[in-house]
Amino acid sequence: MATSDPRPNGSAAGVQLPALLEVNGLTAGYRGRVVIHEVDLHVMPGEVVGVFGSNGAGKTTTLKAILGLLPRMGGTVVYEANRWRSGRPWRAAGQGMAFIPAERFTFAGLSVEENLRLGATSVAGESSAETLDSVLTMFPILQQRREQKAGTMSGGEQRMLSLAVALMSQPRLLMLDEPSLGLAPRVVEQLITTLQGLVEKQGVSVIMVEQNVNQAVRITDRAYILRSGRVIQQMSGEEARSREEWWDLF
Amino acid sequence: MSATEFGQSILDGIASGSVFAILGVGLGLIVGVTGRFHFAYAMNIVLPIYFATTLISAGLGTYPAIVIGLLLGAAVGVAMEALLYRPLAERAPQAALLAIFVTSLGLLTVCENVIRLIWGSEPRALDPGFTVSRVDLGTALGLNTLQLVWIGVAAVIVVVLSIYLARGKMGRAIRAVEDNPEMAAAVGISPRRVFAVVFAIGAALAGVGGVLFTMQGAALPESGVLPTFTAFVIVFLAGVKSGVPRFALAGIGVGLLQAISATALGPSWSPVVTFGVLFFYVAAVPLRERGLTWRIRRQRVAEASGS
Amino acid sequence: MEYWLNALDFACIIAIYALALNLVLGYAGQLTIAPAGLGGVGGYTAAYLSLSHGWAFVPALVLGVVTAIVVGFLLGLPALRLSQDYLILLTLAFAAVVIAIFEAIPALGGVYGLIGVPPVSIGDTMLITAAEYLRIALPIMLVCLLVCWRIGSSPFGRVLRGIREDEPATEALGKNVLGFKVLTFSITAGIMGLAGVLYVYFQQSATPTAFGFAQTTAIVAAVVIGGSGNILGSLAGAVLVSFASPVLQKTVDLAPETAGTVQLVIYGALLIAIMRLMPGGIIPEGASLRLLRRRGPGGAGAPTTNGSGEYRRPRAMARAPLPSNGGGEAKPVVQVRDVAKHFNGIQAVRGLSFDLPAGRVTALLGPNGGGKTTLFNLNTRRNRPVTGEVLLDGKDIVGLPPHRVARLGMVRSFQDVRNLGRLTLLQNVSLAVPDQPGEQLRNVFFRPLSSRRGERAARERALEVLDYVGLADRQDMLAGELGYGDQKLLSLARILATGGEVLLIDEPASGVDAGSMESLLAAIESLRSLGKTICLVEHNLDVVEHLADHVLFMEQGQITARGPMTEIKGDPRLAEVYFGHV
Repeated sequence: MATSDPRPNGSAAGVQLPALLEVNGLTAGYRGRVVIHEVDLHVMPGEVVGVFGSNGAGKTTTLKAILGLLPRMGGTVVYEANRWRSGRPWRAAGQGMAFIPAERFTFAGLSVEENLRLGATSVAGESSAETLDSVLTMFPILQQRREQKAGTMSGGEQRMLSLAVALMSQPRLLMLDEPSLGLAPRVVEQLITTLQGLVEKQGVSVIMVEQNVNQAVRITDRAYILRSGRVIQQMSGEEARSREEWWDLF
Repeated sequence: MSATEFGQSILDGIASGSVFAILGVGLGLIVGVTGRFHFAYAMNIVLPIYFATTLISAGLGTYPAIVIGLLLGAAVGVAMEALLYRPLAERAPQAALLAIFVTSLGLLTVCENVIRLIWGSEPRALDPGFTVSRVDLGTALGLNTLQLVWIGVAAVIVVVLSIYLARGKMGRAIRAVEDNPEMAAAVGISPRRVFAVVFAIGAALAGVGGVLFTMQGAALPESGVLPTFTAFVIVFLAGVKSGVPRFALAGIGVGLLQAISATALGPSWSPVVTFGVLFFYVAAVPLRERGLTWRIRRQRVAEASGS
Repeated sequence: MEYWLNALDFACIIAIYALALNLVLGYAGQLTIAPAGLGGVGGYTAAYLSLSHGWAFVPALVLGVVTAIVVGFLLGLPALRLSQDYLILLTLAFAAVVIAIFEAIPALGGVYGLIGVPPVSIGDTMLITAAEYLRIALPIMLVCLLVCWRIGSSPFGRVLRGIREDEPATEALGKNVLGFKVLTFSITAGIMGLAGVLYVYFQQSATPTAFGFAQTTAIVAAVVIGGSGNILGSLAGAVLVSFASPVLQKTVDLAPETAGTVQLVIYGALLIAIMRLMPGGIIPEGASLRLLRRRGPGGAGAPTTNGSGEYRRPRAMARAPLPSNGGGEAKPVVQVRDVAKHFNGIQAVRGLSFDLPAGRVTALLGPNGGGKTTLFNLNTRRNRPVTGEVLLDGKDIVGLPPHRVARLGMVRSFQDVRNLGRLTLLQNVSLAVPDQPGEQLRNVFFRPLSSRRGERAARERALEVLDYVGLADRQDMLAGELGYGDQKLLSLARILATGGEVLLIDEPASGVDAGSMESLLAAIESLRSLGKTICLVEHNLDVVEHLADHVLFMEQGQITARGPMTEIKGDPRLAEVYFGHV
């Protein structure tokens, strides 16, 4: 986790650390209609960054535009110091970016084990066997349900599976789209705790889009607030945690 | 219709149904995984025959020629997807259905008539290389050796393909794209590559089916059209998102339907029954959900391929 | 000379097919491959009656057309309820079955068909040569051209194009889309049958191949190449398709059979090329109109500004407010009573009861999955709630199709806007005006004055509404060319033009840039000032606070809080529900 509070352009006081992900002036949307305008954000290595806002604010669009699932109408995305172009989203996994969508986030008709093996698609052979073992150790429930069809598990279990699948690609950046969607509050708590453990142990960076702010802020180092397609505020993790309510920002 | 006639038509139905099964599996894979309304499948059925017969008259042995013909046919299938369908789908995903359908129609017309120009309209025969004789299976019932080959080849294909899809990286990738195209892209599966493989397999299967049928009769440039209609019947009766065994079963079912109706009502009424069944099936079953599913999945496929 | 005239006769026949298919496919957007099959129905009927029962030309033709209409109707009823993919499949099955039936019935000549159909005779002359046949082929084709052109350019035709652009949106404006589709399908089936009859009498035979797949491809090619949605284009396409072979025979000196094959290659290749390069066809839709259109300011993404850079506000109504359904009596109110709905065993909405007070803005608020959109869909879709009723003005609207609900006065806008992109702003809004005589075919043909008057009135009303939201100066722009903020305004204009008193607005602020937000908010506020009853689903809390008189907080399918926004914000439990448990 970052020790100092970096300034918006990614440089900590006195030391210029390269950002893992740097997004500048991102403008994107669907079929000629612009949804997000001039979005700037960055993720430092080892950080957990939250992107919060209500529905229609453009949170999912932002993630998808960064990844390249949507065409960009303006702006640049730099990942690990290289320009990341849109149009070929399937190359992201091989570069260490693991994306988990908000809905339909597992291969429902395939077994848990097959889901996990698919997660390792972009990783070379031998290391994926080790990764499978360590992932199954981390998520014992998946070990139990190894042969089960993913679609028959509960929502929370499928979410865990989606995390595990993402880990199979040995990612450096996890991109989560509303991980708490459709989950009961207690399950959301568990999910966030699991995420926290992952970040601490694996050192993976996270960018997380959420409407369910109060849980997510437990682990975020920084947060961006999105409204009507623009970033209206940025705050540190502590600020976010100390907030009592969010009505005026959403 | 006597019991013997009925029994014989069942056997014949299983035999021809086996070839239909092969055709149905090929088209089912294509439509199920890529969502393309691939009318031009008719060309995948006949082109390998023409390639093979040309090679044979150039002096090559029958079976090597068939293999090369199938490989060429697979390449043509990949080209159809990569050069024609994909640019259309990527350019305008919403209007893609009409565009791909019309393109397929055009492709069919062009290919069929180019075949006519190059090879003429004379029927092309394919000699199976063994004598086709009758094998008795019971009192007055029997199949000929070619029909047994049909059943055998279909069985082998179903088994091999099912194993391939169940194990192995590409097989799993294909099933992943069919299940959830967005997640497939997220884990790093290139939909373009998967589509190419699926079209190669589908085209190869189409060619096998065409070759098997031609061994019994002869091929004309337009010979692929009716079997393609039948293949669409099979795919939609089974359900677009079926697995290989289900498509195969639907193929056998259609073969039985054809054979039995031909025996019972006469050969000219048999296509009426087959297409009539599809007609009422499509019209009667409440289809809103299914149609919706297919449309949504096509959109997801379009998004995942970066369009 | 003879075979140029021959080609001309064929061109007339294909043109008739193409004109009809253009109405169904180009205008209404229904993907059907039934044309040749329907032509076969007409042609075989006429041939059979003429050969086996000695019917004269005219009665045989009439019965051929009638039979085709009936078959078209029976085919259309199930087919037009299906999504496009299944529509193609069903019409494909139809085409195959029809040919199979022709080949199977001995009385129809089996595989060889019916040969020796007596030629048409006018008075004493028999029309046998190509030149002679033109005497009926050309006039009939011109009549069909006039009929199809009239249908296409009437308000009826506008509804068809609305159906093509976005069927649910058009239905939500109060149009009985299924009725329009089936009617169009049946009429065009008759025209296609007519083409089949003409073909049969020209060739003096009815054969299965004449009505098979190759013929269908030629007809589709004529429509697509000529320009889908453009009546004149179909003529051009028909000419191209029919003349290619004789041209090839003459110029490149090919044998007739080879020329026929090459002709097919050419227009197959043209189909592919056009889909790739010019999907609109050689003469795209509305091309001639485009030249007359005024060019207005603003493009995709530009905010709504006039020259000085100020944000445009909707102007006050110059004339009297638009008439409401209820006249001077009590305004309609919506009462939702005890509504519940399951989806796949999950209860989406349960025991819901609330009122929409007249002339007020009520907002539905709540976390994802709370049931808000389900509620909207219950109100205006065929989704039946399991229990409960929704009373509009005292009348229960549960289970009514969307177009009936719209005509009763409750209209909705869509979250994803759903404007009719290839229609102009004026056409978009004109479409929404209810009770247009020109939308009924009998008026189009038999009461032209009434239709014209109605159309003028509809346009005036549409202009009025466009002016009200500030888009009047761009009335001839295509809706698809507007910036997103303006598109939202256009969708509001559409529902305003319906005259509905209850407006359900789905996420008006979503995706709207801060620049266009003011115009949008002002537009909704002025709707309220017109006395409309408004219900909003909205996630942008700022907008909700700004607009809503009354907020209903929905979670897990139930309303758990009601009151003004300030009250809602003051409740810490609701904050937890909305933003997550702490």
